[in-house]
Amino acid sequence: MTTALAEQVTLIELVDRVLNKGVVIAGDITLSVAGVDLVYVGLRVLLASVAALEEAK
Amino acid sequence: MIQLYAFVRGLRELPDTDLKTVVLAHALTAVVGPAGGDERDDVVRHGLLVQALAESADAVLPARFGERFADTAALIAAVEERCGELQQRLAEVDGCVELAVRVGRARAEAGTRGLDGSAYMRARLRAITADAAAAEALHALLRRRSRDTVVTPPVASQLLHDACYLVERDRVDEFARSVETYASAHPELSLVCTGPWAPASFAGER
Repeated sequence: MTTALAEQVTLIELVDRVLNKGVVIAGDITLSVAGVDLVYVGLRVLLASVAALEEAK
Repeated sequence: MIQLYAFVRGLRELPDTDLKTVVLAHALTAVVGPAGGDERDDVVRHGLLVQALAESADAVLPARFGERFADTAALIAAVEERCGELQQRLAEVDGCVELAVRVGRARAEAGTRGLDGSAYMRARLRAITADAAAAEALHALLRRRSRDTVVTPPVASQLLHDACYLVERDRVDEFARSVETYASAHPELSLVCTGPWAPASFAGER
């Protein structure tokens, strides 16, 4: 994986982890960050990973 | 308004002067800070602080972004009934970090060129079955090098395996070497391993 792609995957995964994983106490689900629907954040992790896997071929 | 970052055990230092600890029932320690905004930079900062906490504590249970409370008293009231359960989860991740492993197909299509329709389909079936078996074997290997795992059903056809592993800190290098060795022995697969992360996959509902 190139450094740029590795950094991209790491940053996107960091964001995905913060938004979609972890302990929930209040139960209020954040639906969007900076106006972006969070379902697309999870999708971007997937797409970035697939891009990394494709490049590894 | 305060924001919850994580529950911790064995915290040696706070990574940022904005953060402070709050001790709850069952001696459960929460790390909180002033509630910020909902911009992408706020999310990244939150994630980086949780990562820093993971490096400064024996055990960390990251909180999902957006866990906000009016004040410390509101946090204490909200967590009161779950302190014992959260202490138990902290014990489960004590001394561990999380590593994510994704496996995709790297097999070239060249071997199937020139085949007629049914021969092509049989060759593809053999390849898919072999790839799935290899990914399963990797998972079995990595399970033995980890304390716990969370497997996510792959939702893209390019992905064969998508899982997070709870790994003891002093076994991270061994785990990474296992992934590298397996990747070398299986050029038909492509592997991406990221981490070490704070064990967020093992912190919430399972």
